[in-house]
Amino acid sequence: MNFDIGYMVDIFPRILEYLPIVLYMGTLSFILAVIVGLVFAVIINAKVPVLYHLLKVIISYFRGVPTLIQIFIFYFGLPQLIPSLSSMQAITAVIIALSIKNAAYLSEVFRSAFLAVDKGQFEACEAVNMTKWQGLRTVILPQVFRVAIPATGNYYIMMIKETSLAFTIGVVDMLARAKLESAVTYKFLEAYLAVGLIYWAITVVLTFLQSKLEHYMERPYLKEATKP
Amino acid sequence: MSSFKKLSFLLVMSTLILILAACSDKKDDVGSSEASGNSTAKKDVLVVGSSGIYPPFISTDKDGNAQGYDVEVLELVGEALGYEIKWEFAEFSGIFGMLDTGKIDTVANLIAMTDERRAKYDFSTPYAYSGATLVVHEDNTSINSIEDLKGKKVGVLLGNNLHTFLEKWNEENGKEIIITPYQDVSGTYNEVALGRLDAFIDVKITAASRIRNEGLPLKLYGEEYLINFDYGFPFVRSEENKEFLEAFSVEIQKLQDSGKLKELSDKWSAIDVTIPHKK
Repeated sequence: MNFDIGYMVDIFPRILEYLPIVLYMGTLSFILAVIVGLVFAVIINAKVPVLYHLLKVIISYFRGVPTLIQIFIFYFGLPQLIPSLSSMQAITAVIIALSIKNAAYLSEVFRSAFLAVDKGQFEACEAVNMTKWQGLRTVILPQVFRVAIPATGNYYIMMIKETSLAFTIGVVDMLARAKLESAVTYKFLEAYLAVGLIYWAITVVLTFLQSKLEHYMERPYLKEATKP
Repeated sequence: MSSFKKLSFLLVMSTLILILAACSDKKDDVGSSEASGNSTAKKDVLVVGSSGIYPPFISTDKDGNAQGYDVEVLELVGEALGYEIKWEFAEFSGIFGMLDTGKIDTVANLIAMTDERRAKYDFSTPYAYSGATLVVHEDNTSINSIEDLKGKKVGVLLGNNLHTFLEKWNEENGKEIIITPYQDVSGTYNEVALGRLDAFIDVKITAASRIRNEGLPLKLYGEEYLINFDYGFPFVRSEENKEFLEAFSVEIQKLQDSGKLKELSDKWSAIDVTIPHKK
């Protein structure tokens, strides 16, 4: 096996051209997943009738079926039932499929984060005459977020990498570019390693940002003396 | 304060929805022809799907433009019929799904006209002829026919016509070949070189050029084809496509007759792919 480092360096910029589309798909679906996941978690926590049971089934489906198959069903299957969906662009399909799938997972993260905050705190808030929203905003949510951040960050990183499934339905991303490049040169290992390093670099940056955010959320828990 | 928060939440939501809507809108002007699906005959853009990883027939250059034998054949046909070719690259496993749902009009990926595919799609006149061969280690002496594969580990590309062929042969001959499907071809030749596979079944023309280019200690098992294949462009079966397909096939026949097809074959392929199989 002769590894061609020169080639790897050479294709780096051409693969990096597709970094924006990866970040776009990953980040947008992450934001949507967080929003939808929060809604799911609230519905499940409050046990809203009918919706609660419906959601249990939906979450079970999205957690149980492999992502690739979900994307296929979403992009190729649904348009056969609802013809107007056939004009949906592949990238939209990927974003929506990834959002809902990860929302299903994140709803469990948020649910456990809500459970981590003692019920007595709601009552305490009411006792000091806070409105429900005030209590939620100033007392409950900061604690919920603090608990949820580490696991949520994990999902962000996973979702960035999951976008590499998009080429299956025709969205050319970094991995797709690497496949197309190496098909001509047959230097697959070099191209894939380049892609791997880029993903790793993204993860390192995200991990750093996450630790900053965690530190910020941690402020109220630091002892006066150690506060900066 | 509470209403302000609600407002900002609404704003964020509506922005997101707008972004999503925009990313589907943006491409709609280009893709409106795709949306109408199978009405190939009415438009002047022919959307062609491909894995983009099947040189010398279809691959991409450094700028990401399509290149290869299939590309030039299609461009000549498109030019003659007044169509512009638009390329869509995707994982091979998704290609026929895209064809079925009208995201693409046809496929350029050296698609063999197998009985199973003919049952579902209408094919153009063949534009290439080849067959299956086995890629083996250069020290190999034991594999000289398909019979010799019994008890051996053979790699195939998941879901392609060679996979179907080998499975069927295996079924009829005692199921002794250990067939190992791969999701894509990237690492498969290395598997043979490393001895993890005894052979890999591939189309002769691609195998010959890949062994040469990749510089691995591999060879073809022999000269003969395990099975013959004609290659054409598949279209969704519909009344509207029928007329277009006829004109399309006439153009390919013209290229064949004028020797232009052979010229392109010589340019791209190590072996002449334009000689029809003896029936």
